[in-house]
Amino acid sequence: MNAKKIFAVLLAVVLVVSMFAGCGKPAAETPAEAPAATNAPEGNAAAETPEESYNIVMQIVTWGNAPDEITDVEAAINAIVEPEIGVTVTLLPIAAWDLINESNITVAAGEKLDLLCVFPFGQSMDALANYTAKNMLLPLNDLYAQYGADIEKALGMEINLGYIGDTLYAIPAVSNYGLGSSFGARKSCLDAMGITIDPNKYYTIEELEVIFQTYIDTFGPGHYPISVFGGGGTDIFHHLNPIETLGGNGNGGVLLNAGLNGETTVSNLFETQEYMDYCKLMRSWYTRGFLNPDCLTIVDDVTSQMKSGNYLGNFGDMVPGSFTGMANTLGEEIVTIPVLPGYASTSAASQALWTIPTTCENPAKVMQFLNILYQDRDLANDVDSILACGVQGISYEVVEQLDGSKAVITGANVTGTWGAWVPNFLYGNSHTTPISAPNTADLYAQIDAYNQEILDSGRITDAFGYVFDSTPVSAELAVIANVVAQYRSMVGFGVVDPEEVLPEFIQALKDAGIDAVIAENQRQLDIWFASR
Amino acid sequence: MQTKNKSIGKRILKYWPYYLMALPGLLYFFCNNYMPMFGVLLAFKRLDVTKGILHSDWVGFNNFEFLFRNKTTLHILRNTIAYNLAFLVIGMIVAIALAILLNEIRSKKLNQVYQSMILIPYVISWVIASYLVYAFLASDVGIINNALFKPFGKEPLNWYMESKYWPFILTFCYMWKNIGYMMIIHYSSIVGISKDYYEAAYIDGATKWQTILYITLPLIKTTVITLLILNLGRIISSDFGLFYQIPKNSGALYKVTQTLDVYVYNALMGNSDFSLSSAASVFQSAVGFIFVMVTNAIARRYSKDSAIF
Repeated sequence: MNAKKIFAVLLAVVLVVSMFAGCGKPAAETPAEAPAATNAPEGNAAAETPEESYNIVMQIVTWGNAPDEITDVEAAINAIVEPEIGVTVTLLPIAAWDLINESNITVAAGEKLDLLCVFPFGQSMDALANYTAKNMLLPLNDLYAQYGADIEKALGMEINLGYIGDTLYAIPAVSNYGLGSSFGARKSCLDAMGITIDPNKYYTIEELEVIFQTYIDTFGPGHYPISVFGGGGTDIFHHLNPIETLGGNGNGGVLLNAGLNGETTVSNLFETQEYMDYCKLMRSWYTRGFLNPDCLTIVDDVTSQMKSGNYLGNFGDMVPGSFTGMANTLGEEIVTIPVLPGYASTSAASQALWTIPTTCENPAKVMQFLNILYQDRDLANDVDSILACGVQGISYEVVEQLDGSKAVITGANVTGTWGAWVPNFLYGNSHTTPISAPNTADLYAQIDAYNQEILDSGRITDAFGYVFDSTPVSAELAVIANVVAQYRSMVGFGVVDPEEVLPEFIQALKDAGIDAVIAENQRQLDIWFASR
Repeated sequence: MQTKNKSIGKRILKYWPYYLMALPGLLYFFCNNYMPMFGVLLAFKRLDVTKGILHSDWVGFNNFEFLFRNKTTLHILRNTIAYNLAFLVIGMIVAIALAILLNEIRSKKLNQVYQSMILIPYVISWVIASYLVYAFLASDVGIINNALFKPFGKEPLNWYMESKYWPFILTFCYMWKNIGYMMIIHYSSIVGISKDYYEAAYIDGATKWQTILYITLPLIKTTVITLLILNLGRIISSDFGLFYQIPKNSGALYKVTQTLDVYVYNALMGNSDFSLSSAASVFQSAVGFIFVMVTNAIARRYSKDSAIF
């Protein structure tokens, strides 16, 4: 009996100890602990300097992996900003697709975060309302007025993108005012078909259909001219018709024709004649074999589909350099077939919005730091260039020096992975950062000209900068999101007959309460117009 | 009351090593299963991070609205419950049958080979399984359309648009993946039955069928009922991977493939609204709790040993 008891005690002790051993190990390895670990030495270093620097924890959006040289980049930035405004930065790499969840959890849990990146990516992937609804963001009006002189100079009217109503919640990164749309086609295929493209002309639907039909006739079955990403409740309406989604994903109401003709009525996109016509067009394209019959269930991205060699091309945005990335991956030339001339839209211009969470302890310092990102400096001292492209010699090498701070860079012979994993258009004024090699030296000149062209042509809606605050109707929008996921891709890619299914779709939206959402959107837009 | 307290104290003193042994498990349950229940509050509040969960405003049942305002809610609940019941009944019958058959195999080597073969799908993830299914069902390159339908002159079918086949496809996929695991549990309780019973039955001239009917089944009844109660607790939850990955989230199939978990995912994926998602999981837990209590009460009435508590 006694021996048994002793054995049981021993066993219990072993169990308890092993449990704590088990607990300790993974906890030390979780990524949540990693920033704390990197904080420690910096905190010490700061303590040694006479005046304690404020440590800014800043999110860095990545395409999946954290770049290798993150400490080098931190050191390079700290060397500039610490003497100037007394701050140090800690960079927190987060994959673009984890950003919404990570940000919400970080702020809700009260973890230290000073610069939160809202990343709509020009496609309404995220929105300020997702955070303001939970009171997660600080209003920045006063700080901006006090410290934001350089931001104002660099952004111009793009600062409107950061407002909800009269409250400024975010500082947008400098981006294009908007975009047009185009069809990027393989040059090799076009050559085989004997088609040459006039880059200065906008192609009509009929002309595109001729190209698509020729592709099918030339290459035969198993080849589809249009590659689309069919999952996830999307379609390509916006590539064929100008549209203003009012800072949302379009489910909660849109301005048809992007409000270019002075339109100020918010409409339910799916109920409009334009959408019906679009669906009929897609139905005819689908039945003519322009789209893969499995397009709804192929979940590979468009570039991967293109790699298979069974597609001619895909619809995409049209800004200078928009198909460069795909051309690099495919290792083959992509010809841009213009479809829609550029127009400004709130959604397309919203690429990255920098916000300060309510948990931040020293917002004034953070705003001073943000202001530095928008200053035009020489390359060695340009903080937003370092954030965008990494450290010279580690992340990139200069192959050709141009006037001022602009330099053509290349990824060759470097050890760093910054260029591979970190998108370069999210920080400050991305139009003054180094240009990566396949692009030519005049890239920014082209983009500036393109923006100017949009502004000069007046292809900009009066509602530019208006963002729908969906908080009051979030329950309705959740249900609508589900209805859209069910129907939109089906009718929007012509897989089913729109005459039959679209009315069913519209009815389901009405049951989900879309009319209340549209009315709320209209009410906010009217107030917004009245306050201008 | 006092005497009872005393006796509990005494019990702990007497058996303290056993309580110490139970401590890690109890601590785990407390940290993992009870502490997060604080989050139930969130389902009835509108989260405001500056105020914290405790001080956010109460909104009553508003957060639950999105679960029920949809006309398809009935479809969704029907799907969730019907699939779970089907999986439960079919799964149990097939798993017990397989376990009994496996028990009859005399060759140790072959027994292990069959066991492994049946178990392997269990370790394959739904994402990979979805591509296996896709290889069969894709409309332009799929095996079924190309190897079966076309050679026999049948019109190829766009499987991911035809909802009527999917209840069968999903049930098949679920069985394919999970039957091995369910079988192992029954098999282990069958192996635990003393061989004496069977020998005695043979001597009395019982047939194989009779031994199964009168010895094996009654003796594994307790395990079966326990599993049944546990599974009924999850009647309103569903295997997200099965219902989201296998149909490739094809909208045309929602009527027969969308379950509560998939609905919540589609509705809330874009905005990570903690309050609404808490509401959904509170609803699932509440329904599960009711089912467990009711089935357990029924089981207790029918035979006391089979009830869990």
